Amino acid sequence: MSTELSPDALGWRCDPDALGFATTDELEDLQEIPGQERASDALTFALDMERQGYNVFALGPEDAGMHDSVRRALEARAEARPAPSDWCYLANFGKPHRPLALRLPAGKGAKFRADMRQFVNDLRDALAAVFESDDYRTQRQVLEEEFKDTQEEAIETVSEEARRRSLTIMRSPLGFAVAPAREGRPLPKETFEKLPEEERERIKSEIAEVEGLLHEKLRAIPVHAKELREKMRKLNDDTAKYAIGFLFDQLRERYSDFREIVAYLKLLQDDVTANIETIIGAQNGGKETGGGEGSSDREQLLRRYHVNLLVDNSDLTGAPVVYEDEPSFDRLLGRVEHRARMGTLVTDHHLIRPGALHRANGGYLILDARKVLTRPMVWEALKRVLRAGEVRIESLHEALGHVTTITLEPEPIALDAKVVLIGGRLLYYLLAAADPEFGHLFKVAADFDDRMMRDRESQRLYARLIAKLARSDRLAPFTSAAVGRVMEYSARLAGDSERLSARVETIADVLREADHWARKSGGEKVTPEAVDQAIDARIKRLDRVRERALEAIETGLVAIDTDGSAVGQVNGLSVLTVGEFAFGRPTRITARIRLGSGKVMDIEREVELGGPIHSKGFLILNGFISARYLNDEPLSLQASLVFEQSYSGVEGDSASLAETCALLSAISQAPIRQQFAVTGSIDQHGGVQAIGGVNEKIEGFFDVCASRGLTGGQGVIVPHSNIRHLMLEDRVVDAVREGKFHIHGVRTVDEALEVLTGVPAGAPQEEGGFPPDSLNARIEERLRYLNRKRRAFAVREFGETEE
Amino acid sequence: MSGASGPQLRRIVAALGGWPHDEAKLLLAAHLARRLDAELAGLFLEDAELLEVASLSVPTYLVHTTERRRLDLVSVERGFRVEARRLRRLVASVSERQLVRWSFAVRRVRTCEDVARQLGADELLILAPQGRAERRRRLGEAMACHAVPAILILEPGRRRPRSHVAIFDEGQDTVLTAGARLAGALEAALTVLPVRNGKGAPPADAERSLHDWHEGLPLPAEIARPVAGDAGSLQEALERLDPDVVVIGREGRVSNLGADTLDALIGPRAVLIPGARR
Repeated sequence: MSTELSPDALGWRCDPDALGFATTDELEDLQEIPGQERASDALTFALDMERQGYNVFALGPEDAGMHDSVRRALEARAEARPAPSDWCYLANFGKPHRPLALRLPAGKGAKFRADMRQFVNDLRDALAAVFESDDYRTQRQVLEEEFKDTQEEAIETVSEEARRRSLTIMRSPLGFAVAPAREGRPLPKETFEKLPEEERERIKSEIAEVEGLLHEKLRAIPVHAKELREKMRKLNDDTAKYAIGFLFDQLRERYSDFREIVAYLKLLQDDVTANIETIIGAQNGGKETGGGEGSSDREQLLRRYHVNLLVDNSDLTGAPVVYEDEPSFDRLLGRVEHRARMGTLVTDHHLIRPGALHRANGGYLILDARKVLTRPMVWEALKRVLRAGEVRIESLHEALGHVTTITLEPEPIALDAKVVLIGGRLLYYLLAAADPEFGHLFKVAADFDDRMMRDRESQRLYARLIAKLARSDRLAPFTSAAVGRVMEYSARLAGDSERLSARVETIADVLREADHWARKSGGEKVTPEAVDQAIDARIKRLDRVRERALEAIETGLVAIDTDGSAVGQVNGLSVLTVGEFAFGRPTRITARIRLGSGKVMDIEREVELGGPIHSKGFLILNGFISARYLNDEPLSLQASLVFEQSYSGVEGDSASLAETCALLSAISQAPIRQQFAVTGSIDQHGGVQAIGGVNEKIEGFFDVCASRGLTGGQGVIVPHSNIRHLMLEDRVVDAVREGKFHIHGVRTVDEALEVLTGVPAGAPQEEGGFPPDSLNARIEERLRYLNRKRRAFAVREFGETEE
Repeated sequence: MSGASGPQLRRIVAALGGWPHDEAKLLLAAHLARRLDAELAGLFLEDAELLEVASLSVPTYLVHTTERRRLDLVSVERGFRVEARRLRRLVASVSERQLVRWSFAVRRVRTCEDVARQLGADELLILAPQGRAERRRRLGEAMACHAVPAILILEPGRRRPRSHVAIFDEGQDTVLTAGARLAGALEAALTVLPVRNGKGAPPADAERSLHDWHEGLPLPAEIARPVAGDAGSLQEALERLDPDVVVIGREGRVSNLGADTLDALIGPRAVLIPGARR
């Protein structure tokens, strides 16, 4: 059965005429990326589920356009939802370190803030008016005079007593002194000294008594002063109530539907009353001292009555959709800022700043998973918020246990937001495996595919997607042929002729670059040539390593034969990925055998350059050979297999077909035609299985052959199951079409061996064994020969035969 | 004020005693100094009598609300020095805030005359005695001393003079001038209260004088109905007008009422006694 593939089987080529348009200008935008129904359904489900934990992890390739898709889905949903509540922070008069959170309907927060600002202004004016009124001043003076009179009367009583005893009381900043007097004035020293001794003693005794009386009276002054202060406070309270009561009444009436505000106003009124001394004192002090600390204290006090409108949703018509590009701890959870005052850092409820979670509350928050995981403490904080269902603002330093300055512990805010994390698949799997909370908090995975089925409908949608991408980037219109070429490239990216790539951002890059080349050549439309130029240029920018590898083969530094034949030697194919670019290159695989005890050795494995999958492939190969040939006799050979000139690790089982062929060639002594390269993995029955990177591998060998000049006999053997994946470049397809290059799709090891050796493999016979002269018969014959040699060796050496 | 009688005020002298209300007194003095483009002079009055008492052989004590301390010369002198330093800083601070020129001095005095005789006619002395008895005494001394400078005696802790000056006009230009100047500096309303003489006649030229001295000041000013010179009529008039400052000449029926009567008459108000010629 011929295994050679026709040129048509080497890749899908888009028929531009079948697309049904001339340029992308004729196509409508496509809002959703086609082929992502799974992810889209998952998103819809998560958005429908109004339960805790139904947050979303959108996973997929970085360039699958997840951000756009998620944002569009969320915005569509958000439009239909009401604008969420505003959030304010208010001073907590009882616990100043714990500002109060207040939730208000959207738009009400701004009104409340404005009302409170007006209230503070009114409060200031009303208090100033009433406390500067003659009426108040008179009442205050009356109290002060009462106090002074009490004081004066007390002193006057003692003074009267002093006068009666010919003494006088002198006032000084240092205190009161009692002295002997005459006509109300202190007695001069010389006069006093001339008094008789008894008189002086009498005066001394009188002075002591009056001092005692004075002391007693003076001790009562603080009591009177306290009484005065209490009376003043009451006067102030009564005056303030009278002056500002109506302001509170107005607010209470306006916000009677909001219990929290009414309760807050009560606390506020109590606070104003309790601090009226400071407010008035500062006012008076401010005027008399020309401003300064008193005025500053008053402003600090009044500042507490203003509202910090943390989240203002008055402009929103639907729910918010917030994307936080820099999800640091502070930017996600909000922060408490500080300002310097008199050399100290201070803060208050006005310095509470919202985080992304606050802004997204009542709506949706999109975050990059990688950023969340790499910013210190953010992942733990996010989980804590989602678990608790509330946003609690704390400082990162506090979370880390560092010493911080005095700060606030604002009342937590209830969270009602859906969080969508966007990240790669590896991150998702790692989180799912390593973090037990992850599954509880992100119950929905929106798995974005990296490719989609290619059929007529999807091609039509894909063309509309290209049209939309072109328009949104203001690119020149793409001709249908150019669109077809992009779709071919897309299929190549998908690594499958029956699929299209869903890596939208990579496709968008190609579109932009094709537009660049088209404009550079003066075109008004983007043609297939411009698309090719863009793709070639992309490859050119990245293929330095490929060129070096090819150069090494051309110069003979790396030994690869592309003609002639050799026993136990075959061209294998491998794929190298350098950054975003992957390319194939041939590798010589050789096998050597000798008499032995049945051990087949993989040198790569022995020196630990072979990865586990490679080892697995080798052991399968082992199983296949030992089960297929002379399975009732021991294998009396020792074989070794190696990837020649391979100095780094080898992984994957795609060389197992090539290794098998090399080994069987070595056993059968049937030479392998070197114009072929082989790729494919095998099972234990000799079936050939699909491998990855088939296009790159074929092109890699083709380029080596082409550089040496195509002989017409060269080609590549690939698994038959990989034929659908073929999306080969035109230069390969053209060579095949011209008969200069051949591609064979094989299902079994036998088919591969027949192509490689040109000898029929020979099917197993019913009576056992293989047809004479077939390759497999030669293999069995050689194995029997080795067995005989081994037996003879045993008799010779040990004098007995093996049973 | 081209027709003003008496020189312009060059210095406002705030007599300080180390009392809590010294700062308020200084603020008023600084305000007047700025308005009148004068110098603010802080003058700490050391009480000579207290020193004498401290030197008596009988042990005396300084009695405070919380303590009782032996009075002796050394501690009184030390106390004066401490107070002088504090007050100097206070004067400097207030003056700098109000942007006025300033000076500071210390005098050891017994009576009001001891202070006043060292001052000139172009100075205003502001006193703020402690307690009613001391004010009575200072008022009496000020009336009797025939001092050259004008003396403003405040009633500390009660009312700061700022809105209304009333002049007991008994036909003396110096009284009208001093009152009008003070009202101008305080931006206060001014009322002239003509006082009838012993024959029951008001001073003839009260209106003309007021017009001369008060012309150009953007202040409300009025001449009230003449009142009799007895204490009852004067008190009734003051209660009706309720001024912050009362201006009383050194000579005339009002001053003849005596310090005790005047003190009771003035009540919780400041009193300005215009300067006398030496």
